Amino acid sequence: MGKKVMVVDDSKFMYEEIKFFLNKSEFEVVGYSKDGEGAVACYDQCMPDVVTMDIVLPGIDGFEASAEILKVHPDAKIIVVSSLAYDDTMTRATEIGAKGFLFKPIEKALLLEALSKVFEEENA
Amino acid sequence: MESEIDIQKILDDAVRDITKRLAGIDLERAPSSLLEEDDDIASLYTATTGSFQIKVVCHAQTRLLRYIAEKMARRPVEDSEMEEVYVKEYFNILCGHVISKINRLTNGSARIGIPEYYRGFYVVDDCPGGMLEVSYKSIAGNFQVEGRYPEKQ
Repeated sequence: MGKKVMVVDDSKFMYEEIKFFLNKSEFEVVGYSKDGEGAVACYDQCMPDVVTMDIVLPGIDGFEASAEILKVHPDAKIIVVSSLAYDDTMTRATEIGAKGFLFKPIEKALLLEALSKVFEEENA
Repeated sequence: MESEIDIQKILDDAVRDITKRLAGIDLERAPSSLLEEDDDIASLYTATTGSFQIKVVCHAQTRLLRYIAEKMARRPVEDSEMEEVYVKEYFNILCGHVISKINRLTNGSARIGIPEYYRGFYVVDDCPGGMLEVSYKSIAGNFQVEGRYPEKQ
């Protein structure tokens, strides 16, 4: 099994898109949650190596969900994925401890690069 | 409030860019709406909160939305619920790009709401202020986007 990825996004399209892009790569999607509250429970269940986290979610947003996960799992690696591409979002993502940021619509090459970079930094 | 021309250009740029990237469709500007009363139409709607208030609604022929959904899914989409999932995400991404650019222009931090999908022509509540409308045609169908916002922001 490759490195485990958990996808958090209220749209199943993003789950399918990321799964499609990661097919035949060193990464494998092992978990999916459509909201922030579910993300925390899903993380505990599948213990992924990395999480892709949408920001606009029903209930608690992606920032709050990320903070909740990091409280319990401070080594969690979270990449924020959003169509909201402005400085405030990226600053907040960094502040809560996200390891990367991807803008929607995501591209396969940039997704793989962001995922790889997370583990390169860990090994550095 | 930024000039109407700026907001309209932002809307137009985002609509064309995202539609091309997600569905491979080249939208061509139409001088006015090509949507007919008896067209099979669906609408997507969202409103922002925060520093900039705008309501964005798009009306499209359902055959265009079906085309967009199938391109995003990379397969035929028979299930109308799944079609709704794809087109709502399409609209979510499009509006995210619009609001991001408006935020940069206004140095603001508006956020978009979760998109809503309606069968038929969804009429936005009257909101005193400005209105923008941009119409498009394509080989896959016709499309119209409206933005309504209070004048002073």
